[in-house]
Amino acid sequence: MSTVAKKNQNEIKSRSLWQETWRRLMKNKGAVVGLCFLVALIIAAIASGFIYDYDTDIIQIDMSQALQHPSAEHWFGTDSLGRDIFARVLYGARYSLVIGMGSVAIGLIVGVTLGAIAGFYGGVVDQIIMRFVDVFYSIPNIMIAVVIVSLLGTSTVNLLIALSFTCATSFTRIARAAVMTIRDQEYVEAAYALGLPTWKLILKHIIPNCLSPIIVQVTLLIGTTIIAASSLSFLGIGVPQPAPEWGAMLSEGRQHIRDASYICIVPGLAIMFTVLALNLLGDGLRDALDPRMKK
Amino acid sequence: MIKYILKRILLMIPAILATSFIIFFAMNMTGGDPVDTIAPENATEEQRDQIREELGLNDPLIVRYFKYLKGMVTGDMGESYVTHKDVFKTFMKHLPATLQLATAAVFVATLVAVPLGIYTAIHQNTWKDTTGMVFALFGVSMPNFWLGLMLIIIFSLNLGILPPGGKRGFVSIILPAITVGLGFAALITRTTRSAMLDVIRQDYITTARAKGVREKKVIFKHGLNNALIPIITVVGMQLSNALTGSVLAETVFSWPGVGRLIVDSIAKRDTPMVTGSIILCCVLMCVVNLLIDLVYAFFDPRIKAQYMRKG
Amino acid sequence: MSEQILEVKDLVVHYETEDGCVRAVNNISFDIGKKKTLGLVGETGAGKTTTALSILNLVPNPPGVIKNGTILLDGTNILELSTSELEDVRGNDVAMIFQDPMTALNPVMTVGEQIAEAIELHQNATKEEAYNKAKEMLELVGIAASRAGDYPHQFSGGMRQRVVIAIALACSPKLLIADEPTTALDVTIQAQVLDLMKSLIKNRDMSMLLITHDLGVVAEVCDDVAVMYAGHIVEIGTADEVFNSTAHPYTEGLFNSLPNLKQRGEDLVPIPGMMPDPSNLPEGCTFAPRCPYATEACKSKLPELRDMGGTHKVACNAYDNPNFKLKGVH
Repeated sequence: MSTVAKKNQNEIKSRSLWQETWRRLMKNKGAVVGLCFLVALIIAAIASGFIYDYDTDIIQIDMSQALQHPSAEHWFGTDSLGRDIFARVLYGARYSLVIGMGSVAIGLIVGVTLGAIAGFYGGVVDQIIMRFVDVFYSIPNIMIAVVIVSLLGTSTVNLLIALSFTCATSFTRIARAAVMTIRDQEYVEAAYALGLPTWKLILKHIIPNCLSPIIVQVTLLIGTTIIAASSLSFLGIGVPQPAPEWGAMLSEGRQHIRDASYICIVPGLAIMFTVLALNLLGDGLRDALDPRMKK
Repeated sequence: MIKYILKRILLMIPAILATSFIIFFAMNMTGGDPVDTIAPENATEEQRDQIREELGLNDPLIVRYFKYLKGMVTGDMGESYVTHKDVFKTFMKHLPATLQLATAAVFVATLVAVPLGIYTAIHQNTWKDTTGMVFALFGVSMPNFWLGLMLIIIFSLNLGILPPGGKRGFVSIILPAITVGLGFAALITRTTRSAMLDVIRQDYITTARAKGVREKKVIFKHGLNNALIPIITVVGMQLSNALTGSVLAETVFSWPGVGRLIVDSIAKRDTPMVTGSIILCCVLMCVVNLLIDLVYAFFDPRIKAQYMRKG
Repeated sequence: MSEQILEVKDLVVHYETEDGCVRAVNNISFDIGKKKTLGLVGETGAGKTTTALSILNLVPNPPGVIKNGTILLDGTNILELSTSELEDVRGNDVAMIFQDPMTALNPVMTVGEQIAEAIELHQNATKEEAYNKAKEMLELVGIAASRAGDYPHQFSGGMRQRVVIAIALACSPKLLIADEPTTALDVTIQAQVLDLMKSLIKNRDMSMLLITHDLGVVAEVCDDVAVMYAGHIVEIGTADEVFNSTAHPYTEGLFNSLPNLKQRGEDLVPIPGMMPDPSNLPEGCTFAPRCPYATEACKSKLPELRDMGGTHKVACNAYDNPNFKLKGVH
């Protein structure tokens, strides 16, 4: 091998795993588009809080402006209570993003902890945790969420909790599988023998090993959760009216589908593009983190 | 084989017990005081106590659970707080609509997705593949109920060729089936594609080609038959999801199915109805999963041999 | 009609991937005479299998591309045939036996169906006739006809390879390509399968291209031998010529790294180093970095095949010096 090639190879090795992942991610057009969309959406969601006043711009009823078709003044028209749909859709991004990320974050912490415990201790503990997970897994997510929300009562926080339940189950499975495969590896046994406390062991040796599937799952689950949240709001058991949650807006717009179908279009597109961006990013991350999977 | 089936049916019992336990306790511990639901607004405390006594609500929860289980064996799952109708019978009345919708949706999904998955796999990394995968990506990213609304706007309101809801004859199932089906189709397309990509790299595909088998036959006979297992798995998953997961499509299209029964009952705080329906849904899903596992044996002789040994 | 069943000329095959171009087969030529067996010898990754797949025009594309060359099968250029013409040739005029019998059979079809498929395609037979013929083929390779309805997972590795042979021979092809047919089998089974192949080929007047890295197998079966290294043929000739007057340093190295049963005391002499990465081939002779005879000139000059008398040819720069001789096989 020539010296130039050798030098190149050393450079590649010394580049960290994350830099390499980032480089591969940036080569994936879909992932870049998804990432840009999400960054723009987050900025818009934050900015909407400064541009609009919740009480006057978002939820104030003005019947004189009701059901205005899209125009220069109201880009996406107004709803049956005279509220500007553009403002509401933009403001609604906050709900979807917060609920999506929030419930995935809670699910992540709870799920990984449970999965790590189940995988690490095995035996009865494992049996109990996994049977619970199996029961939740066998019921469609939307049904679980419907039941939990109806038990706790309808509010944004309760919606977030209900959705984090369903997120937790898939993280439990991933974490458990990862822990099981590396639990018996020699370096883990060695660390254990050296007296490393269990929680440190899990944190230092086991979590890093299941990081890539978890990162991918987080991205994809935020998308699924956003859809679930809007579905529940559509059914009337999610974010309560008059908040401009996208699903709730669709539920309201549905009453006027005959005379003002435009009300139903924009919030749905907003959900779709947000979830699409997350899916593009998630698929890109999967390929970038595990190049072997690609072909 | 029969032994294997019996064994699987026996194994369903603990799963159903676990589910019924969780659901029963969750619903009865936090569901609020059911007497509020049943008693008339101006009921006296005495009347309320009487209702409590009649329904056995004064027993400890665990006693009530075992009474409930005892009833379940005989198909007695209590009666609705709201309509006072038998829970089991009400569920069974709503079931056919759900089964029809689920079957139609999975049929639509398979019809679209399997050919598309094969097509994209054969043309991997070309623009045809990319187009197909973008379609599938839109499919998984689209909220189901919104797709339903869009279909109503296009086909019912603008074109006026299909009814926007209700259950009256064959035409009324078309839009709900497409709505639920296209969501499923996206996932089935992705699974089919990756299963086919996996299979067409196998040695036996080269063997078939080296034999001079026509390319079409290589793909459909040798390729598809081997890729079927993951495809059946995901189709089966969708089928069991559709049993309760099509609440949204049922709401959008006013389809009188099980999903809407559950959501409506939740809204009315009708605890026995909700508990019973969800438990019955789980039983149904266990049955569907068993059927799927049996279908595997039909397509793959290796799995069949495995069942024979286990049986 | 020519005397050769197969004439390969100037074949070049590349695999073009995102990470660069893998030069798997670089300008090779060889012939196989009627009723003759040619052994193609070389290490894993030398381009043997790619050569074999090219003859059926089955190189996986993408990423594989046949860049150049002609492959005449009984006078017809395989590389110019349409897809449907190719499908008529495959399995009928040329058949192939694959390395790993565990993966070469379709797991969801009975072995009888898999044999019958080729017969039905090429011999205008009805399903029933084809299936009966398939049973005969099974008997021929030493498996009871009653097992035609069994699935591959019910057979052992050696039995499966017999089934693969039955599939390949079902239409009595003129040329059989056997890609390491015994490598994946137990040693005791290897001899059985090899004997079976030898007798079947002889009885049916077929030619064979036998790909192997086992020189013992070559000595037992082949009339001619071609030695491949990093996508080049480095030595070619009759088995007698290559074995008894070895001319290429690589061939010599191969012989030296074999255990010699007659002189058990001898040390094995492995060839130092590794085969070069085919996506990054060195300039000049590809064997030069590992060659004990290499000179400065070898690093820049790609050797061409030169006649060594008879049909014997070798690609080695050392013979620029007319007095050059190998040290000889131990």
